[in-house]
Amino acid sequence: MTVQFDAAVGRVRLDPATFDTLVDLATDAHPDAHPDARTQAPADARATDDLTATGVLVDGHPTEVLAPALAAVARPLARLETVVASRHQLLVHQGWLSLLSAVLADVGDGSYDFAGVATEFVPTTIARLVRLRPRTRLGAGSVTVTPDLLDGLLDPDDGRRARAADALGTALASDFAEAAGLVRDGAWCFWSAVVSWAPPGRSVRSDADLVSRRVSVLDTTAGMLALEASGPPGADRLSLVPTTPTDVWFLLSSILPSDADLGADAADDSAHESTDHRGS
Amino acid sequence: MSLPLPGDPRREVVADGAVTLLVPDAWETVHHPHGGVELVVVEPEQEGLFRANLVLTVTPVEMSLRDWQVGTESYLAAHLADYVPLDAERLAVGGLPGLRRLATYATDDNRSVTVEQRATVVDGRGVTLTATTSTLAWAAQGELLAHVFGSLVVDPAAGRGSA
Repeated sequence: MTVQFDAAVGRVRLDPATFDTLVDLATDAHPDAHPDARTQAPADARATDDLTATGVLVDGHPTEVLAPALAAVARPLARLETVVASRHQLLVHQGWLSLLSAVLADVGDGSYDFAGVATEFVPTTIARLVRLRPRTRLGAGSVTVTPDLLDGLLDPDDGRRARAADALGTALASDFAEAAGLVRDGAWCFWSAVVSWAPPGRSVRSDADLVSRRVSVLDTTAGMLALEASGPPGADRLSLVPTTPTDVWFLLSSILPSDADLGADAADDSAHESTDHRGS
Repeated sequence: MSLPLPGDPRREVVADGAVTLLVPDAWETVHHPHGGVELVVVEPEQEGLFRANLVLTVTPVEMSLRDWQVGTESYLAAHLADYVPLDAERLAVGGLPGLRRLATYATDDNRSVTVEQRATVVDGRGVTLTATTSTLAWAAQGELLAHVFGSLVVDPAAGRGSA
């Protein structure tokens, strides 16, 4: 694809290979970059040419307009992943949280929009990505779901998502008849937003060592259901329970790590204060 | 009832007695800053942080609650930067049929704020109570704001000459 760069708003549309090239060029120029930031992708001459032709690269280096966003990618305090599944699409958006944060939004046609976003606007960005909006309230009820069913809803294969939705529709039918009908008809969205970060004072060998906050929601025009752990401690049972956009916004506006979450070491980092505005 | 921090509640009576509510005592209060605005209550200054605030307006409204709020929503969407409507529901406001909305937008100095608003119409007057906080502080201030909204009372028999 052709790179499209809007310098006025600091947003560039590109494909994954071109993004990897941009990140590697920025990471090579960033002395404090996290060792995992470099993508290890092979150098891509076409991507470099496209980035240069559109002004994203100036004299071989990323333009200053994108510097704060690329700095967030190179040295994030936390990572964001937002997956939005529907009958016809699976979008995977990525984010890097720091003094100024950055988001790589999945456009859905193989291209992505990369831009910086002030960290306090990250909840708004998630709300836009998942299309959080006013919804009818569902009545009381609860539906137990399995990890396999949830994996099916988030499967890249359209057919598997459709089959998972059929199974979910059946499960919803007794407590939430209207929502069940919509899910069976394909009028559903299941999304999950996860912010994760390294626990202070502990080494991270894999994603399993990270601390995270997650919000997962099944959204239909008949109402919303949130994914919650249920049952006795350790039972690992998952349920979908009625929720509201207000409750979801409560969780999204609290999803960023606080100073305490990031630990004393992070408090020494001048970038750190921007992620915790909840002291008021 | 009692409010959580930052202090004891203080009862404010406005619009010639038509509207009463409890506000945090430590918050700064301005009465009638300009036409239609009965009351502004602002959180104490904290360095660098957005000051949460409450605004109560009483204005003439010669239409239904629904039509008024449809127009209000259009106005907010057209005039507030990065406006995202998050929630809307019908519920009792001050003891009368009303509407609640939740939204977020960017202030003129590019701060993310969350705004919660409750509105009702009584005898040709629209009563609106708006709470605005930093988005990242909204969850922490939710209980306080719930107490403020819960304390709102609108008396249809009082203050007919104030609008």
